[in-house]
Amino acid sequence: MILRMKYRKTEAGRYLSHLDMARTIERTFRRAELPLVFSAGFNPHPKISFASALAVGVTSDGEYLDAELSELCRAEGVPALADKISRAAPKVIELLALMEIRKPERSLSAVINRARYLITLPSADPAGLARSKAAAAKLLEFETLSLKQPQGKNLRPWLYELSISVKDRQVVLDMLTETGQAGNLKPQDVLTLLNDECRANLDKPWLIHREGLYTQTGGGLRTPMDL
Amino acid sequence: MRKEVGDELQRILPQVVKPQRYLGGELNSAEKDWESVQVRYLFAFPDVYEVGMSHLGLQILYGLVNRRPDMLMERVFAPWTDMERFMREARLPLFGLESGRPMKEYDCIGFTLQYELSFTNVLNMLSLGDIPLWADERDNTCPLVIAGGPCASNPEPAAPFIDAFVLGDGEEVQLELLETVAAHRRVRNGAQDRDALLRELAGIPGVYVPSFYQPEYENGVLTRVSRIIPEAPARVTRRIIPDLETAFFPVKPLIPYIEVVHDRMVLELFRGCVRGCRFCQAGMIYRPVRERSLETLLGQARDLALNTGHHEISLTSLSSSDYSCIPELVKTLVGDFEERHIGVSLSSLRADAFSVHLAREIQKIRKTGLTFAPEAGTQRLRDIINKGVTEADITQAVDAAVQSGWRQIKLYFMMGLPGETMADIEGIVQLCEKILSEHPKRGVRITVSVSNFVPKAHTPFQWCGQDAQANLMEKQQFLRQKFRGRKIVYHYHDAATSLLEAVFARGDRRLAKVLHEAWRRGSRFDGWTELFNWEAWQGAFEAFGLDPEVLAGARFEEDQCLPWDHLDYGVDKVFLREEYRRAADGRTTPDCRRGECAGCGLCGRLDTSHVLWGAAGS
Ligand code: SF4
Repeated sequence: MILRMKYRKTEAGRYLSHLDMARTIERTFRRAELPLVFSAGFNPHPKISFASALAVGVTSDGEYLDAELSELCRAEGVPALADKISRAAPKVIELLALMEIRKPERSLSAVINRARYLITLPSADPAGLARSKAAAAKLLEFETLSLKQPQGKNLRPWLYELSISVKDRQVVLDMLTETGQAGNLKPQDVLTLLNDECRANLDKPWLIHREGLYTQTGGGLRTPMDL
Repeated sequence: MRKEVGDELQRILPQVVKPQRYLGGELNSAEKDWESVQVRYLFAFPDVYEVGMSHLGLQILYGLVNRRPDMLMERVFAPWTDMERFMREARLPLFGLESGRPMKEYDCIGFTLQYELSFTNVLNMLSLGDIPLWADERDNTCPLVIAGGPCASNPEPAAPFIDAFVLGDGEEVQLELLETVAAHRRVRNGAQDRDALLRELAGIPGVYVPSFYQPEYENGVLTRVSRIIPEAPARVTRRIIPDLETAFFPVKPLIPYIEVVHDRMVLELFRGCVRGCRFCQAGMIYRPVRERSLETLLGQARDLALNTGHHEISLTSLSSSDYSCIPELVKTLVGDFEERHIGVSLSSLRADAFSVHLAREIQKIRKTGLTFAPEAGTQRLRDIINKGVTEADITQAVDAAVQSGWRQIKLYFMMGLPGETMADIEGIVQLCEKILSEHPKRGVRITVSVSNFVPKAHTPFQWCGQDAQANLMEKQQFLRQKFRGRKIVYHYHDAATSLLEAVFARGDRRLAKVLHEAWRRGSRFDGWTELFNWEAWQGAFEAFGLDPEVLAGARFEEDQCLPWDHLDYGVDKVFLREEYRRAADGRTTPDCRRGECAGCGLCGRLDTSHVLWGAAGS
C-alpha cells in the first residue's frame, strides 16, 4: 500500500538539510515499526519519495512524501498508522495528514510546480516598511529578472505573487514561486533581487518558511492531498 | 533553551557551518527541570559534535545520570572555529545544548580525554565558558571541573587545569562523585567550599585530586609525586565494573539529526582485552575481560533497533572476534535483522581466517574492504610487540577474504616500534608483495596505512622513547618509494602530530604551561590536519626552553619515577618491566583469558577475574 503524508518541518529542525530530514523520517518509520518496502539491488533503500527538497534554514508547514508499505499493515488502518508515526516522530517533524493513495502515475516531485513562502524579516521602521513595499511593487513590474548579469536565466516568469505585510509586529514577505521540474525560483533569490534591483535594503536574518507545495491546474492551486 | 541565547543563536547560526551542532533537541535528549534536581552536570566533549556524539561513553553516562530524578546531565561540544569567532564577538558564553545555560551555572563540568590532541580544546572550552583555566584560580563560585577517559591514565600535563580526575570505568564512580557534590551543596544551602569538596572527593575510590599531590624534581628529573594531605590515598586505584551484565547500558540513546562519525547502534560485547600487545594501552588499562552474555546482548540489540530506527548495528569491543559467543551472536543478529535491512558490522577484526568467516556471515555483499592490523612487517618484530599474529594467519585471512569475494584489503602497521630495524620496514613491503603475488588474477587491491608508534603510560613500552622525527620521515619516504606505481595505496601519518602525542602521553606536570602557551598562541583542534598549528606549538616549547623531540625521545630508567606512578591501573609495574625484558628477547606472552595467568597481578589485587560466557572466539 502507498501512503501519502503531509508533514511539518518545525522550528527545531530549521537547520536540517533534506538528507537529514530523509534520514530522520526513515528512522521514524522504522521506530513506528512500519513494514517498509525496499528497492531491489545491491543497496536496498526504503521506497520513500519526497515532493521537494527543503533547504537548510527553511521551515515548512506543507511537506509531502509517498511511502510504500507492505500490504500486511493495511488491516491496521490509516488512523492507527498515523498515530504510530506521530508517537515515533522527533520534534523536528510533525505529521499533519496521512492517507492511502492508489499508485500514482507520476511521482510527487513531478506533479509539484508551485511553492508559497513566508519570509519574516527583522522588524522595520515605517519608512523601511514603505520602502520594502514599494520595492516589491517595482520588482513585479520588471519583464525580465536575472541574478547573473548580463545574460542570466530570466527568473521573472517564475514569480507569480509577491506582497509585504505586517503580522504580529513583524514584516512578512509572502511569495508564490515556480518549483519542481520545470524550474525553481528560490526565495533567497527573490530577496537578493529586491535588494539589488529595487534597493529594498532588507536586513538579515531572513527567516524563511515554506507555507505549502501545490500543483497549479486549470482550477487553481491544489495540494497533493487533494489530487 | 534560554531566550537570550536563542535570540543570539538565531542571528549567528545562519552564518556558521552545520548550525545543528549547537542546537540539541535530539530524540531521547533530556530536558529536565533545572530547579528540581540536586546536581547539574555538564558533560564536555573536547571535539566537534559529530565526533562526540559517536562516543559510546557519552551515551552511557547520559542515560545513567539522567535516569536519576535528582540529577541532570547536559552536553557541550567544542565549537568549530567559525562559531568560536561569533561567540567571542557576541560575548556569548559556551552553553549546554539542552537548556542553553552558560557553562558557569552548572555544578560540575566533566571532560572526557579521549586523545592527547584534544587537550587544547579543553582549555579553549573553559575559556569560552568564562571559567578560569588554572584550577588554583577558581573560587567557590566556579563549577567543579573533572575529567576522565583513557588520557586520565597519565593526566599530569593537564592536571593543573582539572580539579579531579576519574580513573577507570565511569559507571559507578560518576554517580558517587555527583552524589558527593549534591550532598556537599545541600548542607551549605547550595554553596560550595572548594577545598572541603576536593577533600571529600579525594576519599572516593578512583578519584584523583591532583592538587593534593606534589611532584618533586632533582636536577630537572622527576623523583617523586607525593600526597600532601592524609585523606588522599598514596596511590589512586582505578575503578572497575566487575560485571557488565548488571551494568547500565543505554538502549535509548540520543539520536543525532545530522550525520555523525558513527551513525549506528552500538553493542558493547565486552570490556578489556588480554591479548597482551605490548604497545597497546587499552590492552593494559581496561583489564580484565568482562563479557556480556549472549541473551543480554540480543535483548539490547532488539531494544536498540526498536528505539533508534538505525539501519546498522556495530558490534564493538577491543577485539570483537574474541567474544566467546561471537558465532551465535552474529548468526542470530543477521537472521533477526535481515528482513528489516539492518546491517551488522564488526569492529577490530583479528587477522585470521576465523574472523574472515565471521565477516562473510555479515557482509553478504562485499561493499567495503576488510581491514587487518598485523602492526609489524616481520615475525621478529611482531613477537617483540607480542602481536600474536603469524604470517600464516595473515595470508590465510587474506586467502579466505579473496575467496569470499573481497577485493579490497586494508592493512594497518606501525613504524618506530622498539627494536625495529629497516628490515622490518622492508618486511611491510614484502608482506604486501607476497599477498599480491599469491592472488595475481583476482585484482586484489591493498591499502596500507602506517602510523607512528607513540609510547604510552602503563604499557611495557612506557620506558621507551619515540623514534626520532628524521627516522620516521626517512621510513615514510622509503615506503613511499617502494609502493610507488604498485597496486598499493599507501597512507602515513604526520610525524609532528605523533611527536606531540608522544610528548603528552608520557609528560609530567611541567608541560601544563606549554599546553597553555600553545592554546594562547591559537592552537586548537590539534587532531584536525587542517587546523594543526605546528608553529604555535614550536613557539610554545621554545618559550620555555624545551625541545619536544628530546621530551618525546626520552628513555626512562628502570628505577626512575614515572609521572603516573601514583596512579594504579591494576597491572604491576614489575610485570610491565618483565614484559619489556621479554620483548627485548623476542619472547611472547600468551593470552591469559583461558590459559595460564601471565601474572600481571590485576585479578588478585583488584579482586576481579575474567567473565566469559562461551567457548568460541578466535
Ligand atoms: S592477573 Fe593474570 S589472569 Fe588476570 S589479567 Fe593479569 S595476567 Fe590475566
